[in-house]
Amino acid sequence: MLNALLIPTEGEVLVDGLDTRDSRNTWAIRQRVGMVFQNPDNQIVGTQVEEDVAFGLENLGIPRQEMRRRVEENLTRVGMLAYRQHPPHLLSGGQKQRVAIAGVLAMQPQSIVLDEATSLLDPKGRLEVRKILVQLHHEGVTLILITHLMEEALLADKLVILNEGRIVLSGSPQEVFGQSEMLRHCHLEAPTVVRLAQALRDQSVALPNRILQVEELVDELCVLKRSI
Amino acid sequence: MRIEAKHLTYIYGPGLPWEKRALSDVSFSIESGEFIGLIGETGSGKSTLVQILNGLLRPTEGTILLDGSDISNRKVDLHRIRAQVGLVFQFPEQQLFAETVADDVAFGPKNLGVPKEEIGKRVDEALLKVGLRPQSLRDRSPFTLSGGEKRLVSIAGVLAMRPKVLILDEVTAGLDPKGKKEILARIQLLHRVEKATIILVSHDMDEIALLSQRILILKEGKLILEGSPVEIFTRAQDVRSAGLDLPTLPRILSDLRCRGFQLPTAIFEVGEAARWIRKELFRAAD
Repeated sequence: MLNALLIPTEGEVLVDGLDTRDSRNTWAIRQRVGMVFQNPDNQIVGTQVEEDVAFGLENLGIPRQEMRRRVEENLTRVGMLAYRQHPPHLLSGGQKQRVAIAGVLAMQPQSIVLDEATSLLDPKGRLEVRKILVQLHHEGVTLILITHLMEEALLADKLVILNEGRIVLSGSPQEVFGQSEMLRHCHLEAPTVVRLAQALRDQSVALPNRILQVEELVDELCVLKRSI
Repeated sequence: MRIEAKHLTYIYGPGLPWEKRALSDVSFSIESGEFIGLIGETGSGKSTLVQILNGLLRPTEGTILLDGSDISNRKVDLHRIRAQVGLVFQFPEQQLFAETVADDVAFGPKNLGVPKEEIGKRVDEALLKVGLRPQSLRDRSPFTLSGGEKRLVSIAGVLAMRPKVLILDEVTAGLDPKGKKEILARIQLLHRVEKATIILVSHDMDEIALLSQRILILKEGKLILEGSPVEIFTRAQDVRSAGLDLPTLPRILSDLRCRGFQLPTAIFEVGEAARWIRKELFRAAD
């Protein structure tokens, strides 16, 4: 519903003040909110990487000169410029997903929704895509990441947990992953680091509540060890 | 069923310009009823190996013995082998095709020539083994099921052939945490209750460490390490050089070791890891 593929039965979605129910807004909204899907094979249409990235731009009627510039710029951003002439089906899963992201970026959206964009990738491909996401976030792109992987959810500034069509939890990763009861109820589990820190606190090891990353836990434990 | 692989080599397109050696001189044996984790980075030869194990590919060199009989022999009936060694492919739900769950699960045994009267029984038995209720599912279209259920139905389709060995290629990939847990619990039951020999291929090291009795690591087509999860994940360097990561807890514990903690690294359960860390903190105090 975030980019007007579906229209709410009730309620409204505003993208930069544009109401998704008004079909005159549809193209303006889709240009602002890009989507990357789970399976890159479903999203890639071109027979060459650069052609695929240009696809959305052709549809928008972008002039040729500008199109070339944007394709190059965005393939560079995802580290795939060297593959511009390659046929996409010979790329790895992670590379294909990066091409798909470049295709979306070329339309210069302000937000990108990634619907389990890493779940079909192997660990290496997953890492490649995550690196790109972190970089895009630094560049100021708004990212909405839909994921089953709690370690991946830690990348976010804000987490929203849905259960049976309702928002049941939202807040910073610290706040959300602290609610172990509610998480269990939704058949979810905090990341291993968070659970280990909790288990240590339960055994009266004085660790702060904010630990989310392996490095933080290791640092805190080293400090503790020196102070004991 | 006992599996013995001796000097397996597999070459794709031998003699062609794009010739590729996928396996080189791989030897191992798997005892009946064992739970094996097969790991290695993408392109390490895992898929080629499992396809050799169930007779989809014939090794270029070497032999493979199932309960002592050589299946690389050209005279062997491959249908029989595929019934004994069940292979559940990655994203098996993409192969669902029939109008009803019962027809889909019946496809394998039907092809094996199982008599009609028995097929219904096999279908129900297989659905029960994966924890699905035959009464409510038999006549439903598989396409109306959830992702996790679809995958369970696909596994039932393989189980209906009553294989002695079950090979599962990335069986939890893309599922939500709940679906993942359910599938893994079912596989553990198949191993414990049905005494099935299981070979689990996965990129998820946490899954592998928790379930496997023994782990085989492939790298560039060679078998470079084999051992229990504790043996394997104690050797952090070797695991990493195979392009793999440690499971989450061993990763944390090995980071702590690098910073002067005296801890074992091959621990796969949160409570146990916490106890070791706490002990180590207070040992330093004494």
